[in-house]
Amino acid sequence: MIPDPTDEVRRRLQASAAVVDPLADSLELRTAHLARRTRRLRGRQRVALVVALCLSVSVAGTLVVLAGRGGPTHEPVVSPASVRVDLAATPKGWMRVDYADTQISVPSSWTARTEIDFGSTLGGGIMLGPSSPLSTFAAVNTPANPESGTTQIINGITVRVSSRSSLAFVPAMNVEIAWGGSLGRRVLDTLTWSPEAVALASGSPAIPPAWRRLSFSGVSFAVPSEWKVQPESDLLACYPPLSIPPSDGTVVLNTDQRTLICSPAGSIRFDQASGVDVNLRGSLVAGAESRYTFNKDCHTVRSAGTALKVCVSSEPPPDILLLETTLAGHQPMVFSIGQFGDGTVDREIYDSIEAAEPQSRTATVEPEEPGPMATGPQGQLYFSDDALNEVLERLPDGTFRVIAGDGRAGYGARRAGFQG
Amino acid sequence: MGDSGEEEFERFVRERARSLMRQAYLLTGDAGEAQDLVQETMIRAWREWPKIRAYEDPGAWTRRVLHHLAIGRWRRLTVRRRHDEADLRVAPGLDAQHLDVLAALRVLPMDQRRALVLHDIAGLSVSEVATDMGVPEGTVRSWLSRARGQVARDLGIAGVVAEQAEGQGS
Repeated sequence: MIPDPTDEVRRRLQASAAVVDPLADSLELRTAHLARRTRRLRGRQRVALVVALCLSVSVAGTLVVLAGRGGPTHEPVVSPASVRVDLAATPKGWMRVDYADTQISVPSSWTARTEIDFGSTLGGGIMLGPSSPLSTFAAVNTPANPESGTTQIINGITVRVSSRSSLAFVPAMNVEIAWGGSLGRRVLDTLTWSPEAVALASGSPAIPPAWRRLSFSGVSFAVPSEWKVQPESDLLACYPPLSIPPSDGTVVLNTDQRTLICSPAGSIRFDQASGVDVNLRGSLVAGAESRYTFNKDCHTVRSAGTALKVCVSSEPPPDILLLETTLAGHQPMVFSIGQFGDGTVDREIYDSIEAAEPQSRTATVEPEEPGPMATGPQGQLYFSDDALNEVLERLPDGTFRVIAGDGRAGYGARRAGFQG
Repeated sequence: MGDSGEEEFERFVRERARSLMRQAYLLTGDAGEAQDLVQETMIRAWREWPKIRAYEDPGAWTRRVLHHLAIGRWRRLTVRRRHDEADLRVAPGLDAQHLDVLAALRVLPMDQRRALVLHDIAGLSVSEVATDMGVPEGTVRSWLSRARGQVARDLGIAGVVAEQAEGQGS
């Protein structure tokens, strides 16, 4: 006779659970013992609090140094020249996964565990693996208490591998990588720097002369000339909240006030794309898990005479370099720069961000989508540009200058439209 | 705390320890972790005993604390290394069938695992599980169905139909 599956499952669960009965009986649960443990626990909690405070100070300091975001008093512990993405570290058919300064590669079939899977947050880490079993996985997180181990060099990076367990600590990146199962060690061997680490490494790269500059709400930045510009995004997906995954080879300048309702947590996307998505902050209204924090210790104040703050998110979504810019007299903006390749394009875009000064913009602005035109009494040509959201004037030397609009739909060109 | 309180607490512990230990073991799949969790739960219960002894069901309080601790520990350890099977400390003297049960539980989402443990090990009704986990009864039935189907399939228990394994129906 075939047993009822429900009863049989229950029977086997109860049989398995019962094997620990002797252990329960041997537990020291007498009240006197518990009272001693209580006192010890309270003591340990006090010690742990002190240790945690020390660690948080230490970790925060390290992050500033490694990211190259600090002021002149900080010396990078890693030479910026050695911060590079080793593209050859990724086996064919595997996908790259970034976590802060770290990049590892995992089989393309693997997925990331989300908050829903765990019932709550992962404490900032990423856990990857096949859907089953959980014993095969790779996880990257910021360690609270790094373990010591034997030193190994993986793709030029010093790693301390624990001799007791499948755990490695990468001092230069301040991350811990844990693994399980047969593929775990292979994952560790793909370790390299992330495009974000390259983008934020100290130094000032030269912007390629063929690139063009765009200005949006008072902020200027350069992108490869072949990237197309679109004024709004039709993408209604809401992961990551507050930022939108950039489309390949596209610069999106979002000004609309659409409301996005985001689920509290979603599957983590890994789609490394070139592109930039710029949102006026406040133009996206998202759900519960919608707020990214931006480092108070912001990047340099750029552009002489104009205070522009560029702050990097301290908990960026995967594959996106998330920045917030603040410029007096303008709405804050959130830049989502897609991380891809070896990170050098991201780095140049990031480094090109500066306050747009009207005088310099006249010489560099280029029409995107010329709209209705008009001529002045001296034969000047005026037209509105739907992509730039500005009204431009063609100067005698063939260059263009902005005479109305600041790149925001509804604030600039459209409001300053032609009369009659 | 007076002697009567201590005696009462020790009696409470004797009555509850096995059930809590069983739940903790199936939640974590690790005998050592289970011992730690039960110990921790009882320490907290001892500290709060003057208050929780007045509850209608002090056992529910300890069960919730145990599950809360198990989830928190599981969350942390999953990101680290403890889910590497080589690191797990199973109870001594185990056979292959028992290890299969632990492996089957380990791949279940935590909510399903909790529901199964509360229902089949702690002996709670579907209604009580729903109250304990703060979800509708229908959700609990769905979780139980999916969890049983998955476990039955992993254990090769005969009579499991595909619909049950997919968690359809109640």
